[in-house]
Amino acid sequence: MNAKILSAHDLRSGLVVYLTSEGGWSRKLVRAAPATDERTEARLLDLSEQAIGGNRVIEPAFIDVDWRETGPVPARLRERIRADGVPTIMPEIPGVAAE
Amino acid sequence: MYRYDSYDKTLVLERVEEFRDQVARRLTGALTEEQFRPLRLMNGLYLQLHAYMLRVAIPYGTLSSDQMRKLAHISRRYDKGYGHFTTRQNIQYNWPELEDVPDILAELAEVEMHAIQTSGNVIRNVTTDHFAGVARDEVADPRPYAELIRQWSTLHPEFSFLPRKFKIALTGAEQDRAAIRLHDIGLKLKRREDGDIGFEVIAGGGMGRTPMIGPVIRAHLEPEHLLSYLEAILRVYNQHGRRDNKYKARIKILVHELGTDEFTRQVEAEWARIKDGPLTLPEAEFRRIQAMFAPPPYEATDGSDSRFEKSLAGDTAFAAWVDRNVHAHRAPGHAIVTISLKPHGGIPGDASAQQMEIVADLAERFSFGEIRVSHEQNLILPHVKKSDLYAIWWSLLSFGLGTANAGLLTDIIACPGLDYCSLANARSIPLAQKIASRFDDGERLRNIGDLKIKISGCINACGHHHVGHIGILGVEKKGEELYQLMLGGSGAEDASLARITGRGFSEDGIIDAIETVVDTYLNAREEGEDFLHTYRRLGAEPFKRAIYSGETSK
Ligand code: SF4
Repeated sequence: MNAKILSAHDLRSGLVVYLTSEGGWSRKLVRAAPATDERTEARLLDLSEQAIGGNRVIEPAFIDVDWRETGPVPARLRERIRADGVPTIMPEIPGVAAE
Repeated sequence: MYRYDSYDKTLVLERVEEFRDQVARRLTGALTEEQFRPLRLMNGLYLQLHAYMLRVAIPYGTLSSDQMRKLAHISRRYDKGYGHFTTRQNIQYNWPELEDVPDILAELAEVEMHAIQTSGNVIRNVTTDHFAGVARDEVADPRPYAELIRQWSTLHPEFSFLPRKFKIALTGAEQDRAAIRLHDIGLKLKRREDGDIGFEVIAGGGMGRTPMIGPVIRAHLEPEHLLSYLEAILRVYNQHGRRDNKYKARIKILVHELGTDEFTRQVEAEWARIKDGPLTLPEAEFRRIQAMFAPPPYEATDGSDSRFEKSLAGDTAFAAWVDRNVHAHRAPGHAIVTISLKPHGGIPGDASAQQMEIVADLAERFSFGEIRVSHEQNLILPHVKKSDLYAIWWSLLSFGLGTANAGLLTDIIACPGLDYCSLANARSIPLAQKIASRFDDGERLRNIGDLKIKISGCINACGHHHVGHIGILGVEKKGEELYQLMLGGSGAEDASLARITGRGFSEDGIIDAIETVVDTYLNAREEGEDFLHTYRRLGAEPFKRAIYSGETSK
């Protein structure tokens, strides 16, 4: 099922994070909260505005995902690579992989 | 090498403290991201695909051993233990944390380095021939002039908000190793028939979305007028460059739209107003700077070296490395060494902290403490005694730096692409790795000879695909990576733009296509003819036919 999730970067580390359904931010794509309608999107955006106000994240943006049984799979390769947290040619790089 | 004077020092240190304060205010929320973004960019700090990226300027690609050690230290202490040398002779760190950046900049300042003007619509780091000062085919060393341009352009108040970024490249040699015709301004030191040395001035070249080979706008410029002439060009551009459209804002579009003659007329008119003014080079100051680039005290030799000759004759692997990675030096008995950062299977331009330290040590022992970064993403030891080459080669081999492929097909320029870059459409690095593994045979590579492959992950062309003998451009099609193949480009003195062959390829498809292109060349070449010349002689057709004929749909 097509859905949107909200991704951003952590202000301090710059690393990729996703907005969770509890309103927190996680490095893990599977924790991302889906939005399938405009109302939920608006609600997620509202939460992210608060996080920006609270100085936690920067550059929030919705990304398109295919929501499967195992969780979200980003539609674009770019977002799949971002979700890994590491370059595809250095999967072993310590401390940054989203796992 | 150039040493900071007290003015340079103060300026850089003040900037570090200013940024420290800005970061602190950002972290408390006193500055919003909108307010902070331009400030961090002014200090070389980008936000990329995965994390922040800090771009540090290496002025005209020249580094001391101490500076290289500092770069290694920074990568270890604040980053992930490696750095990426770029086509603009800079270094990028891919994982700095915001809070650490002021400390990184303070550490850089200790060795007279910074990240000022590595972003934004300003005059960026000036680049030069990586063999400057030691090349045999050089009329004069361009580095003192590059340093003058650095001083003039750093925080130049009038040029802090140009229509777009601005890049200047210089060479003093006949062979163009700095791609001067593909820069906003290219400068070439030449000797006139009457013996006078001056600059040939090129303006309006560039790559990116609309590649252009820059026209010569002045055949001979007396060196003392260099800065006033540059100022005149920048003024015309600053005033008339297309600020209305980001994609048309580079100087190449202005030169193209006005026409070379009209653009030149405007520059000359502006120059006439400011020529002989305060920007005229004061002789004494120029001599002071020039003295800092004086040749090191080379040991006098007659050029013959039996020890070197013996190693060469006795070790074919060493001979293969010398053949590709060692270049003629102007001082007898000496050589220029290219350290390949293109090990097969590696990441073009990346060096680990340990490798940086090894290079720093080798430079200290064998190259008067001096290192260069080439726009082809390799490192150079510019002042090596031939009798030391064998020992150097062994040390390089031990640390993965001894690949004998300078100028060969696997000496690939590749931009960071979709593995790091937030603007990318496709990955560049894995492609470079796959090409290297397909051609992982020294004898075959040497048989193919000079062949430059250049890969960009998007139209911005940081990987110089427009001027690759074989250029590859990554695009995105229906969410997947697609690669366009281009042939026949050159960034050298015989500059030309590569032309697209036809429809694009998948990752595997493009590797096959490259192999087909290479085989076509090998079958068609004449005695001693390199790839580019065969291509120019035959044109694109035989290559296209070979690529697209027996093709299964990929
Ligand atoms: S060419 Fe494009 S993908 Fe490559 S580094 Fe430049 S902007 Fe990024």
